[in-house]
Parts: sequence; C-alpha cells; structure tokens
Amino acid sequence: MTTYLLGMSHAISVLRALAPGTGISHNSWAGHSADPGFAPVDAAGLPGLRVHLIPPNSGWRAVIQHNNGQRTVAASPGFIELLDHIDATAPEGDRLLSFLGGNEHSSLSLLAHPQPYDFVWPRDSDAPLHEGHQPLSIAVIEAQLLGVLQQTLAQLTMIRIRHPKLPIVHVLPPPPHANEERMRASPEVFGQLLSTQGVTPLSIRMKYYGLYGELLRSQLAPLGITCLDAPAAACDANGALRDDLTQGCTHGNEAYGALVAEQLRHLN
Amino acid sequence: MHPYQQQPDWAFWRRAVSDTAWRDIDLIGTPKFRLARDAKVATAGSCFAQHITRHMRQRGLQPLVVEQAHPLELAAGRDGKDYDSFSARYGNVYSSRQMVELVEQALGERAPIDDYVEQDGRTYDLLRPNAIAGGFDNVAHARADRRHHLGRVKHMLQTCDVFVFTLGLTETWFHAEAGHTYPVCPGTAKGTYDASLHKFRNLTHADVLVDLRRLRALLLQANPAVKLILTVSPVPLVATHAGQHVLLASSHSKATLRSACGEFVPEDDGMLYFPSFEIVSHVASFGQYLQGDLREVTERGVSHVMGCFFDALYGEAAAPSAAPVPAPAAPAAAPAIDVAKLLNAECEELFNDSAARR
Repeated sequence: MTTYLLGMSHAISVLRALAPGTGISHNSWAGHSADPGFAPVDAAGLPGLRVHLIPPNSGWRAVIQHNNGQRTVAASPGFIELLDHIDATAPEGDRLLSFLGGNEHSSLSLLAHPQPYDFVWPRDSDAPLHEGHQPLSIAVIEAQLLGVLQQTLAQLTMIRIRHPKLPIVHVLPPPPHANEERMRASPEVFGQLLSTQGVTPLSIRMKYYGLYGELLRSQLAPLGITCLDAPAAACDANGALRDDLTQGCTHGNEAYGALVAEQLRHLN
Repeated sequence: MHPYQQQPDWAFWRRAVSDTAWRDIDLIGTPKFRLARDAKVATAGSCFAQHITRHMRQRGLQPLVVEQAHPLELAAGRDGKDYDSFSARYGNVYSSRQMVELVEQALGERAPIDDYVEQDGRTYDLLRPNAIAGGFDNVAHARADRRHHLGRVKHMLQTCDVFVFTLGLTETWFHAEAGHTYPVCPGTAKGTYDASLHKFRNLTHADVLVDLRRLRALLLQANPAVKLILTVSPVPLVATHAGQHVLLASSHSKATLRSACGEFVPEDDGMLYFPSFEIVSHVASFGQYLQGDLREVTERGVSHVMGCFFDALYGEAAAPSAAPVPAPAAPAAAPAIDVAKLLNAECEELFNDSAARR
C-alpha cells in the first residue's frame, strides 16, 4: 500500500510535519534537486509514503490543447518519466496526493491592481463589494483563473491518463491570510511589488480562493480526482488562514502542515 | 434710426441665411466662453451626443472618460465598447428629468435607483438597458455596478470643466410608485411593460425648465466653476405615445426643448446653447443631412455639426489635422472596426419601433 505524494512548495510544511527528519524547508526547496522517482519517507501515521518534490526550476510544462473538439494533453518528458515510477497496476490502497500548483489564485489576486476591481461571488452575493472597486463579471475572473490553472490541470490530466485506476486526491493550498507585515517580511515571488503595488483586500482574495477551489473541483471531478479542502481548524471566523499558521505570503507553516497531515492520515 | 439698423449682419435673414451657403453659415458667432485644448469635457445625452466623444478623439482632443473597461475584461475578450460613447457608462440619457435623477443619485441627493430585470439568464439595469452589453451576472452585480457607476459620475461632475448635455426627448416613462424616470419604456429594450407601474409623461416647457435649473444647481454644487453646454438632438422621435402624428409629436418635443434652452441659457454666463438641432433640422438646410429614412443624420451632417462645435469653442486648438486620440478602452487586439456601426450611434429609442429591430 503506497501513498505517492507529488508536490511543490505547498507540500513542504506538510512533509515537515509528517517526517521532521527529511530536513526539507522552503529555503532548501529552492535549490532542491529531485531524484528520479518517488523517494520513500518514514512518515508517522502514513505508512508507505513515497515523495517527489518538483523543484521550482524544473522547467516542466504541461498543456491542454483543444482543437476541433479533440483534447490533447502534453507534458514534459521528465514529468512523464516520473509517472512511470508509479505502480501501473494500482494495487488496492495505493493513492496519489497532489500538491501541484497552489499559488495560482494568489498570483492573480495578492497584488493590488492599479485599476481596483471586485466581483460578486454567488455563494456570498449579499457581501458588499469594496467601494471604488470596479465590479467585474465573475466570468472574467473565471477566465483569468482557468488560464493560470492550465498547467496544474494538464499535469493532473496527464497523471490520470497514465494511471486510470489510481485514486488521486488534490490537496488545496491554505486560504489567504491578513498579515501583511508577514508578507512584507517574506514577499516570496512578489518581491518589491508587494510594497509598490500593495495588497488586495482580504475579502477579495478570499473570493478568488473560493472560486479557485470551485473551479478545481469542477474541472477535476470528471477525471475522478477529488479535492481536499484546507482543514477547518486552520481557518479563522472569516475563513482566512489563522495568523499563527501563516508562513510568508501564501504558505502555511509547520503547524498548518500538521493539521493537513492529520487530514491525510484519516483519508478514506 | 430704428433699433434694427444697429444690428449686425447675423440678425438679418437675407444677409445671414439667404445669401450664405449652408456650409458657411455661422450660427454661433462669438460664444460666451471658449474651451482650452486640455479642457475636461464631459458628455451625456441622447444618441446624437455619442458623436461628440468620437469627434473629439478624431481631432486629437481627449474627452473626459471616468469609467473605463477593465484590462481584465479586455483580456477576457470583451470589446469595451460599452465605455466608448460617453464620459461614463450611463448610456443614452434622453430627457432632462432622467439627467437630473442621475445627477441626484451621483451626488447623494437621492438614493440609488435599483430597478433591474432578469432576462435570458442575465440581469439588466432598466435605467441603462442597452448601455451594458450582455447585462450583469445577477442583481447583486448590477447593484454593485450601479453604485460604482454613480461614484464615477460624481467624480466626473466634480472634475469636468464643461458638461455637454444633448437633450433628446420630452416623452418619458416613469415608475408610478418609485417615481423614477426610464430612458425608454420598459418592454421596448429590456424588461416587461406593466401598465399599472409604467406611466407616460410628456414633459412640458415648464417641466424642462425646472429640470434644467435643478441640473445647473446640482452641477454648481458639485463643481462651482463648471460650464454647461446644452444642445438639442436633431434626430426626430422614432415613435410617440402622445396621441398625435409622430412628426407633430417630434416637432412638439423638439420645440419644447429648444424653447426651454432658449429661456434658460441666458440666465447664467457659464452656459451656452449649441445649435446642433438647427444645423441639421432647420428647413433652410433642405434636409441635406438626413439619411433615406428622413430621421438619421448622415456622417456629413454630423461632421458639419462637429466642425461648428470645435471651430466655435476651440478655434485653432481643435484643427482636424491634430493626431487622433484612441479611445482609452480600445482593446489591445482591436477587432475590425464596423464602420456602419461607428457612424450610427446606437440609439435605444429605436426599440420603441419593433419594426426597426427586424
């Protein structure tokens, strides 16, 4: 019974919680050079865990192209070779945990736009929009999100094609948080822009996050891939990531990872 | 010696009209004020008013635009034309009453008017039924956009140097209970006509005069230095509900508007009347600027009107050789320009005539 964990930065805090001995951190991940295949990791409460962390400089790309009603999926050879390290017979109990992507919503929503905008999220249509923010159709936001989700969706589609019977759970990243001081202390990829452009109001980022989850669920359900929500205990009354669980702009810390790890241990 | 002997040439029909080519007629003379090239010009009004922003851009002038397509909308494939016609996305404002109510809402003198209709899975704002292509996602989106729109209109009123308002009609429809005025009768463009709710009102000279005085007071309240230019659209009514022949109803409507402007404009040195109506519609023009339907104005007529407008108010500053200014909302990959559509400013009033929709 093997649990394959395939992921990127959002897997790190979970791994640190599951297996403190790995020594992986966000800093070391930047220079991480993954071995081919999935490395066995001794994780408390999650036997048979094998992990592959895709480094930030992998250059692996995947795309889905639509042409004359046909859908073509293409991925980097390295990514396809990696999938060959998964047991193709999919023995009972095997599964794959995906931590692919996870920052797509933040990449679009974290920095304040010079022409501020907001949108109505049907799940919370009574919530007032921010004054002075141009109300946009949710279709505009969906199109924007689907554009940046293509890479993750294509990778997951490729996994499904290569392993049609393998149960796959895509683990959603933590929700946004309100601690701008912490963001500026560790601005991640946003760098100087965080100071020059400022941060989008949390309520808008939360809607992005909610819509992001909805889109992933709707896109992945036909592939038989389920999504695992962020742990409810990690969220404050507004649904945002609890302040004590944040790391940098977009990530959860090890304590957050521990909450996710607990979810993973109890997955059916 | 009698008083007429002291009048200039333009006071005499024979000297000013009979012996002058229509193209050369100077109906404005020396205006009460002129506009600097960088004057912030806000425009609103009936469909004919849409030509002003287009011609300003053609002459290298930058009309004041306070509500623009969002870059994300353009990136998502929207064409942004909703935002091109006027300074803000209010669509056509045909009547003085509708204009006053819009300004009152923008300045907080009146609560925002929420009157929406769901149709074909979209939500439309009945106060600008054709101004937002495709409508809104839902009522919450429409309400939010109305408030954002009103905020932009307020900004426009507070920052413009001159406000150009083209009066189109006196025939209006209003909500019997809430009292607000529609641009067009509900059911013609969007929504459903309800005889118990939607009532007809043909504004009188006195009504229009009250509206114009209220409008001027509100404008000055928002912006004490603002100038006001009034014009009357030369485009006749597409249909009437006033119980007389449409030509007579149109004459009545235009005469009322023209008369009210004539009485109102001299009240204040910060206002002037610009004679779009006369240039196109006066019988002395021999109807040379009318299209085949004897209603729409040809591009040649529009150009004549706009030429007079720019010559009188800007002088050399708005020579047509100046580099054109693109519309700010132009998408990066602009679709082929539909010349016919460009020339025929969209007129919601057309929806009063179901035959015109076919």
